[in-house]
Amino acid sequence: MINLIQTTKLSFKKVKFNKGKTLFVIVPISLLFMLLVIASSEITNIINVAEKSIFSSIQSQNEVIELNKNSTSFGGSRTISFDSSSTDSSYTAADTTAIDSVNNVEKSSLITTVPIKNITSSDTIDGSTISTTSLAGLDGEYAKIYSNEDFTYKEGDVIPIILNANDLQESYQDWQGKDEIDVDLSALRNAGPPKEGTNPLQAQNPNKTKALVYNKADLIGKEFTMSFGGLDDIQNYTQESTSTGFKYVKKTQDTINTETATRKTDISKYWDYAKISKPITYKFKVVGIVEGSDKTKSYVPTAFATKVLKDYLSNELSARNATAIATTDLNSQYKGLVYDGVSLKDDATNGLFAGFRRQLNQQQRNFNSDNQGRTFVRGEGAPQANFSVNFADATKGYNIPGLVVTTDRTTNEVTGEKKDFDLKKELPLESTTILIKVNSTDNLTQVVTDLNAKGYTYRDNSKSEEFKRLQNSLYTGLNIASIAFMVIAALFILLNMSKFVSESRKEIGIFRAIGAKRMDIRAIFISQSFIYIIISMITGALLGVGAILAFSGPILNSAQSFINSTVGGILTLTGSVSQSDFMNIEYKSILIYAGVLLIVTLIASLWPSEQASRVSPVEAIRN
Amino acid sequence: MANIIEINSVTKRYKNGDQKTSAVKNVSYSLPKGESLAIIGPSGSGKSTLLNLLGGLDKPTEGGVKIDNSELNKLNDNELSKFRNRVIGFVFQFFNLQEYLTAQENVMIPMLIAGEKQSHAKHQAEELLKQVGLSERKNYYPKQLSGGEMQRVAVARSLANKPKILLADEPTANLDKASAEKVLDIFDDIAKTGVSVVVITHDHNVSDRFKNVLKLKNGEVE
Repeated sequence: MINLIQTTKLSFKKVKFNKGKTLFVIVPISLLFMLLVIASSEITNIINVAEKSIFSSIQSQNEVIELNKNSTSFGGSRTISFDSSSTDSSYTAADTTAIDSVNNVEKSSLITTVPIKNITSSDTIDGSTISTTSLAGLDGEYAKIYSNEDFTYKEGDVIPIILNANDLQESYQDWQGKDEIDVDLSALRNAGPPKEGTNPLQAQNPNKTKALVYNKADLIGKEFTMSFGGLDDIQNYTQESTSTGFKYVKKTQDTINTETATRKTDISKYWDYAKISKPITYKFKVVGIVEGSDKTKSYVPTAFATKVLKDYLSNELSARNATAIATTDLNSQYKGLVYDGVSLKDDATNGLFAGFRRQLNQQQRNFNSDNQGRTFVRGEGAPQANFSVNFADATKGYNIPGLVVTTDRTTNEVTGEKKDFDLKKELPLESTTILIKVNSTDNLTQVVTDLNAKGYTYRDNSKSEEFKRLQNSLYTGLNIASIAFMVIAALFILLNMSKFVSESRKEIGIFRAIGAKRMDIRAIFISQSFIYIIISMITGALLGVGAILAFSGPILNSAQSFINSTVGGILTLTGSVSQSDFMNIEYKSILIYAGVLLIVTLIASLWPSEQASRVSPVEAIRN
Repeated sequence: MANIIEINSVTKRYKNGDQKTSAVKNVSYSLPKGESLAIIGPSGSGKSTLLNLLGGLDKPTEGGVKIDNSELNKLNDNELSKFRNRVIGFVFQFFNLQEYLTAQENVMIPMLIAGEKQSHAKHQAEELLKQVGLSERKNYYPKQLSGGEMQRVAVARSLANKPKILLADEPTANLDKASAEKVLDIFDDIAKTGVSVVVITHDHNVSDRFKNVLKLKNGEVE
C-alpha cells in the first residue's frame, strides 16, 4: 500500500496540475468559508458590542459586586439594585463584617459617594461633554482591582481617577426637526402590547444619550480637566399636559434669556453670582476604567474625595452674603445638599422626585390643617384633597452648588441652612454602597445567593430579556447559515468528486494495473478532497480574518447605527464601543467549523471514492 | 525446467446483452522460465483478452492460469493487486503515463505502491531511466516527451519492481520505426536478464524477433 504521505503528495501534484478544475472547487468553498469566518466572528462581535452598549462590558472585572442601598439611578438606565435589608439609609461597618463572612468574598469595603452634582468634563473624548453621575472615594488598596497605577493623592498633583465606562456617554437633544413633541400615553393605558407603528416612549423623549467610542488603551494615561459645581443649564423646553399624554415644547431664546436673568437676580440676593456660578476645576489622569453594567461609580482617592467636597462647601460659604434665606425657600427655590443631623448627602431622591415629595407633603399638610380636627365624609362639603403634582413646580428652583440645608431626620422637613461645618474635620458622609470583591467570577452566583440569604438583595435583570432575544435571533441566524454552508459544501464535494472520479477512470485503471489496491484508490481520492478543502479553508480563513481586520471600521459605523436605530430606540445605551471590538476573531469557532468541514468532507468523499475503487482496470485501460 | 506461464484450457466469455461472446476459446499454452513470447493475431482475435488474463487483470470463465506457480484463480483482489505489482510489468499501446507526474515520478509509482521508501524509489527510478536511455529527461512531464520516449518511460516503470514477466500490449503500434526499434532492442536486453517478455502484436516484424510465437485467430490457437 502507498503510505499516507505519498498518497497526499500524489494527490497534491494532481491538484496542482489541474489548476483550472482546482480553482473551480477551491474558489467557491473558500468564499463560503470566508463568509462563515466573517459571520461567526462578526455576529459574536455584534452580540458583544450590543451587550457592551446596553450593559457595558460585563466580562471584565465582574468579580466585583457593587451593592447599592435603595439606589435607583435613572441617569443612564442603569442597573437597578435594591437592598431592602433594613430601613436604615446607609451601610455601616457591621454590614461589611457580615458580608466578609460570606464564602469566597475576599473583602468588602464601604464606599462613600461625593454628593456633588454637575461634575463634567469636555476634554476626555474628542471634545464631547461627559458627566460623572457618581464619583466616589476609593482607598489605594482597593484601587488595585481596577488599576495597576499609583492611586495616591498629593495636593497640587494631577489626580488619579478610575473612570466608569458608563459615564462615557454624551447627552444630546433630538427634536426630529420640530419645536413640539407630543407623547401619546393612550397606547400605554390600553391593555396589551404596543400597537404596530407606535414609537416606544423613550424614543419620543427629545433628551437622548449616546455612547462614546473609546479605546481603552488610549484613554488610560490621558489627562483631562473636570469641573465641579457651577450652575445648571437653563432647561430649554417645558413639558405640558395634553388630552392624550403630554408634550415637550421648546422654549424660545427670549424665554431662556429672561429666565437666565431672573435666576441671576434671584441668586444674587444671597450669593456672589460670579463666584457661585463658577465651577471648581481640577486636573485628572485616567489610571483605570471600570467596565460593567452593574458598576456605577468612577473613583478618585478618598483623600481627594474629601478635599473636593470641602472646596465645594467653602466656595459656597465664601460666595454667601449675610442675608438670611427664608426656610420655606430652602430646598424649594434654593436647593442644596441635605444634612439631617447625622449625615450629609445629596438630596436622596434627586431633583424631580424631591419636588414631587415636597408637593405631596405640602398638600398633606394643607389637607390636615384644613380639617381642623373635624371628620369629613367624602361628598359632604369636605375639601377635596388633590394630590396631583405638576412637573413645572417639581423642577422649579435653583441648585446652588455647596449649599447645605438642614432637615429633620424623622419628618424630612427643612429646618434651615447649615453654615458651620468644621471643614478641617471629617464631614459626616454616608455610605450607600459596598464594594464586594469575590475571589473568582466562577463563584459570583454563589456569592449573590449567599448575599440574598443574608438579606442583601442584588439583581441585574433590567435588560436581559430584551438582549437575550436579540442574541438568540443572531445566533439562530448564524447556526442556519453554518448548517446551510455545511450542506452546500457537502453537495459540492460530492458532485465534484463524482465528476473527478468519472474523469479519472483511466488513471484509476492504470493505477490498478500496476498494483494499486482498492484501498489505495480510495485513499487517493479522499486525500484529494481533503487537499481541496484544506486549501479552501486556509484561503477562506485568511481572507475572512483579513476582511475582519480591514473592514472593522466600516462595520463599526454600520453596527453603531444599527444598534442605535434598533436597540437604542428601546434601551438607553450606556457603554461605548470601539473599532477593536469588531476585530475580535472567533478562532475557536473557526477551528470548530474547520473540524466539522473535514468530517463533512470525509463523509461526502466516501461514496465517490468507493465508486473509484470499483473501476475495473480492464475496462478503463481498453478505452 | 518449470514453466513461468501455464495456460490450461482457458475460455473467456463476455456478456453482451443477452448474447455471450467468447473472446478466448479453450487456449492452452506453456512458456518455460526465462523465455520470451510473442502473441500475434488480427484485431478481435482475443490476444488482448489473453494478456489481461495473464496479467491478473481479468479472470477466465473456464480453465486456469498459473503464473510462476501461483494459481491466479485462487487469489483475491488484494492478492491480485500485489501480484500485478510484484510479478508483472505492464507496457501499454498508449503508454498510459500519469500526465501530472514527471518521468521519474511515473517510474516511482509501482515502488511506492509496493511500500518502498521514497528515497529508494527515487534512486531506483533514476537507474531505470538510465537503463532506457532517458536519464536526461527524468524531470520532464509526459507532454514534453516524444511517443518513443514516453514508451521507454513506460518500460522503465514496468521494470520498477523487478518483475518476472513483462506484458506488452502492442507496444510499438503507435511509434515510428526508429522508436519502435529502440523499444524492441530494450526488450531484448530485458529478456537477456531472465525476465520473460510477452509481447502482443499484429505486426510480423515484431513477432519475427521472438523464438516462441503464439498465433491466435477468433480466440483460438491457430
